[in-house]
Amino acid sequence: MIFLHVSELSIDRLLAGELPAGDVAAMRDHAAACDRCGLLLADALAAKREVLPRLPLPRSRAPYIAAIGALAAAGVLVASWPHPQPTVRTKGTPVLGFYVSHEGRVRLGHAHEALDRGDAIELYTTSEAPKWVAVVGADHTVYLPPTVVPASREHLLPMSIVLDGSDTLTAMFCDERFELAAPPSDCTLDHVTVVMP
Amino acid sequence: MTPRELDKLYREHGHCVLRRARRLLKNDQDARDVVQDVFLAIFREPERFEAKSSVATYLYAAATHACLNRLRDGKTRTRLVAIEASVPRHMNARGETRALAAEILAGLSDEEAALAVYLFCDELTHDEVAGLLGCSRRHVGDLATRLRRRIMERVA
Repeated sequence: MIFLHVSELSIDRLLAGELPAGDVAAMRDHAAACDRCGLLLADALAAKREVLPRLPLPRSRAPYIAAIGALAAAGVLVASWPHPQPTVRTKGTPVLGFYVSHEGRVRLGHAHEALDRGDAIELYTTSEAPKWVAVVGADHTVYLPPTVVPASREHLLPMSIVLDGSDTLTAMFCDERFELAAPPSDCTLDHVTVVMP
Repeated sequence: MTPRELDKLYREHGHCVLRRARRLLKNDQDARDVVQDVFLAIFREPERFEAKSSVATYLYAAATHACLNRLRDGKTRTRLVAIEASVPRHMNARGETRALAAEILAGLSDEEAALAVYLFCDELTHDEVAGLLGCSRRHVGDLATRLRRRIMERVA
């Protein structure tokens, strides 16, 4: 195969292992002798070594539903939590917030945020002190089992969620580790509601 | 496609999309946004991806379209600067020539703009373009002829 110049597409195919061995050898020979193509190839190899940031991957409910099984029907257990009331936030109490990822663009979420199908939400907590937090959905799906979060104006939880309908996510914040079924009485609740028409 | 499979695809091929987007957009943050757009689109519509035999070819085309969409949706000034900057250096085009090229590109349909980028910026062969468009080389020749005619009309 004779190359006039190496195209970016052919480099992509080379790196993806999609080129026949003969084409690979011809391309490497050409790149070794051509400054322009040598630079393109070197640039591609350097880019390949870059560490990519985490992709905000949507997670389906399935793993969490499986987790519920492991927690012995946590849906029943967390039913003992107080039903979320319209939020009246006291200064200093921990807060659950969220971002919405819509087609790769991220915006801050607000109360009763309208989502499109396929949108992912990423939760964060705001707290003046380290807390244990758990997050459940209105149908008692456990999105986050009890986990420690640091004191932070905005601590992103290590998860993103793609919902299949409207939901209210409730976070329980406690000073100490707790069981979903029996949270201490001095824990505080916060919740966010998203709407999917 | 499961999130795990998508993550694997992203880890193995995301750098190609990032490199492509950087070249077309000349803006690192926009390029990173395009990478997310491309891979999340695969998650939403996996059937469009899974029907393709070449991962690299699919991602190259998807990245090109995502970049052109971003340029189209952005402010005209941003678009002009970005497209102007994407003209290969070896063409050594003068400023007004580049501006004219940018204006012409902005006036084309999405498909025509992608074809123009493949042919005139990337200098791909008709074979390569055929692989990207999923059509025959002959059809690419026809499209290229039509595109050149349209461009000449705009220049005139």
